[in-house]
Amino acid sequence: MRKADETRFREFARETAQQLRRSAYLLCGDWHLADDLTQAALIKMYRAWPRITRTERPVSYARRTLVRCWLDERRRPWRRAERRDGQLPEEVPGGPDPATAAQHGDLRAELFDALSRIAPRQRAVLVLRFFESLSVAEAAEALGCSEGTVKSQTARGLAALKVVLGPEAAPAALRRNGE
Amino acid sequence: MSEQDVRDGLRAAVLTEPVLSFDPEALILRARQQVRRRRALAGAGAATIAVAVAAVAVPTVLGTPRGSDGGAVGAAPPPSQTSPPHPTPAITTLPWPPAGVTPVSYTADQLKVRGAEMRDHLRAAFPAAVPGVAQVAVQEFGGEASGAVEDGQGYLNSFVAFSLDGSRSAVYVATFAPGAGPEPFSECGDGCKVATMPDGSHVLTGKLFAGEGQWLLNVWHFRANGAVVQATGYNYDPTGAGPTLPVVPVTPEQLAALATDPKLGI
Repeated sequence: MRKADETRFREFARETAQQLRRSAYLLCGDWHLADDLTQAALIKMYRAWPRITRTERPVSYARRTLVRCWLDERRRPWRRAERRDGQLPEEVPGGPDPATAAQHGDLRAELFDALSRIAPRQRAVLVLRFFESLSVAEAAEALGCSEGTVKSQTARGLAALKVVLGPEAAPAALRRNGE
Repeated sequence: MSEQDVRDGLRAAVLTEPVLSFDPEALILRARQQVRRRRALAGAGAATIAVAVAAVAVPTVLGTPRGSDGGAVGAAPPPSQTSPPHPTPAITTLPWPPAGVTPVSYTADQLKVRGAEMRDHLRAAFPAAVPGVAQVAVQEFGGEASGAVEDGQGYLNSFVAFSLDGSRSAVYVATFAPGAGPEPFSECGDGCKVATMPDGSHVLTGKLFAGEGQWLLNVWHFRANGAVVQATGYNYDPTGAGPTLPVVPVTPEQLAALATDPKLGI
């Protein structure tokens, strides 16, 4: 790769790694795996970087690659029968006070339990639409599917979340974070 | 539950994220090394591919003695005099999907029909590929769960559970639409072996340690049309709770017969 391209890639990786990792975490529910998925996606991007910068928007490509890495991970045969153990990642030393952290931990457990129960593509759509704030068209581009599929998956994902969380409990549980 | 509730919940979920634990510089170094290694290996192996792979690698990779019937992979031409006595792991990277492949998208209804056809086929094809099996049960083809398919899903998978010599195990069969399959070598493991078929397709064989004494024996057929069919054997029963077996009860040749079966695939 030319030096100029590598410099651009380095800047891109620095700028996007954290956001990619957050999305990865929301997909997989594990910060360590989120690190791995982010690295895997960026390494794939490095290999194709000159082409990506000529033909695509790198951020869109990164999102698509990340989702693909995660779906690939999910498809590994020994993962299929795997069940989540519900364990939350370790908190950051020096992070929020214990009471707040405990409350967030409860909420994250509830949310991830709900997310882990819906189909992976629906989860990906919810993360892209409501965390990454992508439009329907952008989410369709990231997932490599039609806008109609994004719309239907969004509706199904929200309905599935509502079923898992419960129609009354869901808003309260999710809103408590903003209080 | 509103969309705003979901937005708030997702944002709150990452509030206490750990410090980013990887260094972009190290990542670039690792990526650069991978690119160099792939180029070097591809260059070193290119000269031997044409004469060695089709003639020698296929039967040996699949564990079949030269001159014997290779099963579903087809008859290999006789080795040329310039062929090495043992196969060289010549191919270490494959551009994937092949150039010109257009991703194929199926509806859920189409996938269900195709899944049912493959399930029926496997009921007869599996005992033919793995002689001696009993109590064969082919699960419904699906995605994240047996029978679960969605519009646009690029793959179908299933387990074939069976008994062999008194032990229970299963074979995982996954079929990927053109352009939707895994990248070659991404899951193959260190001992990955590659064979090139006469039609230009590739068979990859690899063994993966799954932990706690459990192993997976994987065979992928990366087809010329960009589709992929995977057959995986286990030394345990991934569909049940039986004991871990000393060895994977199916052989690479048997898995290759399934992976290369033209009646499996989407």
